[in-house]
Amino acid sequence: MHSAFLSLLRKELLLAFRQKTDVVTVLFFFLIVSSLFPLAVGPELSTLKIIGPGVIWVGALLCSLLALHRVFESDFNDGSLEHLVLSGEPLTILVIAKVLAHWLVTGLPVVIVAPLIGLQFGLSQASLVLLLGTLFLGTPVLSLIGSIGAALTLGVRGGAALTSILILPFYVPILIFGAGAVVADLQGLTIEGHLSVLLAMLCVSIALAPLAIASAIKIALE
Amino acid sequence: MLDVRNLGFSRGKNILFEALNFSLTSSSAMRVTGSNGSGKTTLLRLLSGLSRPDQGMVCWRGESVTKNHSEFVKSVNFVGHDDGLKKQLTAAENLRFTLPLLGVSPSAKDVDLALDAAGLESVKNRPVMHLSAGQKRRVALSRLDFMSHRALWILDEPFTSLDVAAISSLAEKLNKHIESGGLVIFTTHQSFDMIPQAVSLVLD
Repeated sequence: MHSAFLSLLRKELLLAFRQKTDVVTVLFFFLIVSSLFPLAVGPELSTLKIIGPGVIWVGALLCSLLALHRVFESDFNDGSLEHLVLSGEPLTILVIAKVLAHWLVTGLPVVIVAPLIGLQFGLSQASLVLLLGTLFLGTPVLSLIGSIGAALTLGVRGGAALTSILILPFYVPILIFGAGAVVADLQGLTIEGHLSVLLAMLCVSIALAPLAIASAIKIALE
Repeated sequence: MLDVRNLGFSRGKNILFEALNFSLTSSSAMRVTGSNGSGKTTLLRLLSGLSRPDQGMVCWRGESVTKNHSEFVKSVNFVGHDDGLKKQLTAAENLRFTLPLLGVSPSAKDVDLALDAAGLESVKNRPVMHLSAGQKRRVALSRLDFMSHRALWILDEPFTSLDVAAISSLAEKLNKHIESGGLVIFTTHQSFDMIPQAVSLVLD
């Protein structure tokens, strides 16, 4: 089980490395989307400070959505997904490896770049650290929940658009608490509640999402 | 070992097969033939437990394959129509990273030897996307060398796009597996008799 998990993870990371453009595209999308807002809203620093965390969070969320279809689609098309189901290893474990790899190549770069974007919005150092923290807790949840949608729409025509419609409502709470924590901190409010809820969402989705994804994959292959 | 009881499957109003019964013991083989769309692939997917039948059941060592699927698949080696190779990875990488999922962790040397034996010595370190259809098939089938511990081999069109030499080497692998107590089920369009033990099942 251990070696199956690791070898799948390594395979996914190597694949991502061979298709660097895909990863870079997502990152550039994030940079451009979040840079559009200061241009559109104007250089008023007090406004930018208030919208900054929200904009960066929406950017991260859209990036996650943009990359979602890649989690299982190619595996579904080339027969690898059948191999995963018939491997004899617990499918939930293999699914965790796939989602983890997906987060490492699409979520983590966004988290790392986010503070740079935050500078554009004139966020203070404390806010930047907090932004980094909330993204670090929140983006894995986006990947996990999003992968449920990606698995459910496997083999469906127009699956990518359908995934967005299906998944976006479930992204809303993560967005509210993620961006909300940074804004609350700016306003001098306590943020422990926000962070606890984010952490709880992360724990619940790590525990339950792989089960849902595994069932969805089995249904898609039938 | 493998019992198929009263198996029925339909797609919409189109009945692919009904009341299908057969039973295979160890050291045997079955060749499934039939016209395009007659349900060969569907039958293999039912036998491997990937799909559920509308009627009847498939039993492996007396137990329904869908009921205890996670245990059953440890005895199955399924080579589907899609070979599951990643085109950006080399042949050697494809084997090295996928075999651990099937419960074997061969060394890089073992993988190289298997690919050399499949006649892929010169291309094994090239991305699979630069390989021909037959060479890709050979890569996919060289997994069989590591799968002797899984008794039931289910192969969908294994002989497609292989040349004469590769066909006979594959037939040899299948015969060896059958002799050592395995069970092989495969579909094919070609009529041939390179696997003497194989009983025929014709779907229409």
